[in-house]
Amino acid sequence: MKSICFRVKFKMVVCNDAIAACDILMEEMFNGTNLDVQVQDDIHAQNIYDLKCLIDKCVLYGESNSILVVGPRGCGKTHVVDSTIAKVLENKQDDVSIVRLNGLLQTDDNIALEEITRQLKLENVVQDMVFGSFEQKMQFLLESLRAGSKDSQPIVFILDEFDLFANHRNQTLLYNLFDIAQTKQTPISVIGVTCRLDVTELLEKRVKSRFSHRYIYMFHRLAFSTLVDTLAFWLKLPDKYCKRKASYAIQWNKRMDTLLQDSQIKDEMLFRFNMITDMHSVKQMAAKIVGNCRDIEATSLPEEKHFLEAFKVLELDCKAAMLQGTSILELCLIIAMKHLTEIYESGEPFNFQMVYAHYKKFSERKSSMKTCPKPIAMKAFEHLIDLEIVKPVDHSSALLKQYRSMRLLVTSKEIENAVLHYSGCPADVKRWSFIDSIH
Amino acid sequence: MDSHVQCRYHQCAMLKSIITKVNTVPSIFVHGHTASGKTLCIKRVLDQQELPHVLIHCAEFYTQKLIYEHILTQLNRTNQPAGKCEDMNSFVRLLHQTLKHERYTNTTAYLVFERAEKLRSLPANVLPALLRLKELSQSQVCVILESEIPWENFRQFPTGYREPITLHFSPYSKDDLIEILSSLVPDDTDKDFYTNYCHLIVNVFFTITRNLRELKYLANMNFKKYCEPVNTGAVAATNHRALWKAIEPQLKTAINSIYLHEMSSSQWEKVQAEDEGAIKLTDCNLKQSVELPYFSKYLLIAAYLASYNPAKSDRKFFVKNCGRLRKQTLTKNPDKTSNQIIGPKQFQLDRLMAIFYSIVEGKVMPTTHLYTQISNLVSLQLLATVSGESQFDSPKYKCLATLEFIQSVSRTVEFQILHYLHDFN
Repeated sequence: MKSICFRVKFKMVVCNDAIAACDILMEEMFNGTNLDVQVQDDIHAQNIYDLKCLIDKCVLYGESNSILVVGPRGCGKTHVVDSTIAKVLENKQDDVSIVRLNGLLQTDDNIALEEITRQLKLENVVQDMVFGSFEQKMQFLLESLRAGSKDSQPIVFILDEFDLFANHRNQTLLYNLFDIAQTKQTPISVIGVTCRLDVTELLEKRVKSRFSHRYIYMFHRLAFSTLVDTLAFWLKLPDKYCKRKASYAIQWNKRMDTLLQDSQIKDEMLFRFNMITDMHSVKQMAAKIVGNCRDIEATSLPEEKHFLEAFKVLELDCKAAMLQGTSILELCLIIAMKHLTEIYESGEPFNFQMVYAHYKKFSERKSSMKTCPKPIAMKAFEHLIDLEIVKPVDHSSALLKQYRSMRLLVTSKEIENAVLHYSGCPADVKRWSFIDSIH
Repeated sequence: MDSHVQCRYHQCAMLKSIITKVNTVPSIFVHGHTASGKTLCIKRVLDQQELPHVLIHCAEFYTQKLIYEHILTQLNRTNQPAGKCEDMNSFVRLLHQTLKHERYTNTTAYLVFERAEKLRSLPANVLPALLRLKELSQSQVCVILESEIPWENFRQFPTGYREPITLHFSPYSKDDLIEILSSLVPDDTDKDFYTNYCHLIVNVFFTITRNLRELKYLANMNFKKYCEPVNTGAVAATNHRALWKAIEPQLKTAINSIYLHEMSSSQWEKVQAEDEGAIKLTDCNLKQSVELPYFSKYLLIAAYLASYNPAKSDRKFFVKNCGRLRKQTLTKNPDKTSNQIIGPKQFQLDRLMAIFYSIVEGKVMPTTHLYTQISNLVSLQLLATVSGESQFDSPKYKCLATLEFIQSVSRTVEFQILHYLHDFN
């Protein structure tokens, strides 16, 4: 195998330029964040400015406030908050405490309180006191926060996945945070980050009225040219690598430029761009292309096919691929179910017994295959349930399993496609699947 | 070290491009049918590069606590449990601490979740949090999810997922299967001889199963028999046709027990040793042989009849001396789907007892013993109570026995069940 790289005692000895290039590109893509920062900072400059003003007010003048950053996933909300915080911390490192919470991690108020205590470095204080209950913890924290005045050290609370905090019991944490933000106590600013537009509807009345109703709305601002530029950035070798393997790197970069200009690839990219919403998917696309380039022979360069293959992989319909992997028996059962669903147009569920009877009728009359005994067909059917191709309508297990009513989760179009592309599918099964109803 | 996995060259190459020592993709989703080499390839790639990794089988570690503590113990390389860790928050914190250890500097730790579809039954925050574990724990960690269910079926919660890089393992083709099976040739066997045998096995069973594990099992089970004519000298090892003729009946019976594994391999060999293997096979079927008291058997048969016959037809089957009635036979509506297809219907205790008295031989007094037998049948899950607890005086039941089972029961009491079933008359 030519294109295997050998690793000897943690030191990488690469015998292949192409693989080395791919490794470097992947590393840049997922560990070097320089492009992300550049591009996103430019796009969201206004938002970062707005948010910074607000936090500055809290940090410099002790004005408490609260704000929500709302926008679809992957549009750079967290990034805006992070870079704002970085800017604030630049010159006032010691004057401000940051508390970061995430709705995915702090799933209830109890955990959230512990985490706040930890991040405010109050553990030492807490250790001396015995805290049994949630109420005591809450009381301690509130007293600590209320004790301060306008001149105390400001605290910035960042609540990522803000909507999940609204699910907590009584919304105690949110209520108290917003309450403190409204009074002249320790200056705090509460920044909620969420993707839900209806997030204020989730808040209870008493919580809602304490929130300042400031919002930053963000949207996707991804143009096609940005996509191509981003892709080019991730597909071209960085300068630091160029120094070591200059000639090859220059060739590589040149080839990537010409490939990105290629009309067929451009068409494909435009097609994909219409389905892309965020930077992550662009990155995935680049990763797939680079991954494909790894099987290039020693010192040759990437070609068109590596791009096209990557696009094909991205388009791969997993469900169709899964249907391709079923055995002929399972495929027959699926076709039988398809017929049953077509007969009862109202979408009435069916059970295994019906499916088996229908399958048996086919295999005894019209097929050269041997009819499979019922227990084995049942096993195959259970496998289909595991694959979530069929699903029980109700979850009552009291009834016999062969009489449980089922529903098919793939459309008849998908099944027809699968049968057409199934390699080695017997002709009679193929014919059977295209018959409209039971005959 | 050889990293080559048979028939999986492309997938391994792709894995190698994303699984490396320093660069971390936050999460990878590997999708493919059972026994298509997912875990094998991932493990090979990880082992080859000597990367720290933890394998978590989600059927084995089925709660948050088990998963987190297993990961932490493995990463800390200690035998003691790493302390209490029950929620995502403390897990992320402890993971961050663990990965700060110098052992993990400049190295990515990989967490491989097998049967990841089970993660969906955990609280809704677990899966999205795992997918962005790298970001949340701010350490070099990568989560690999393996499943046979496509990624679309994972997106059932409103909470968003950071889309993982997906990788599809295509199913093995027929040729792939033959190649893999024949590479597992036993030590003292000729390679061509075994390859030919594998061709046979795959061709016979391919329409029923494509599961490599199942085919491997079948190949192991039947190989001794296949070798027999060669060992005794009756057939030359190169005479494929004669060998096929010798093994054919054996494989035909094996088809009927694919997947079921009704007996252990030693039992199977015993059956093979005897000549009337096919007859033995049905006797071994444990499921069909349940010992019941005499009246229980009749009660069960009566329950079956009550469940699968319409109440109207009782007159036809159970009223004695009704010669005149039989002539004006119940006209069966051909459009109606039979009860065998729809499933058992519920019936009242009175009807069950009426049918029981008409089919049982001899005179039976309605004692409490008889009624206890009914509740015995319920606890054996051969009958199910349908009505609520409140209906004491007229409880309703459903029969849960299958036709095959009831046939074997009625054979023991020499009762012709098919003569009494509406669907068969």
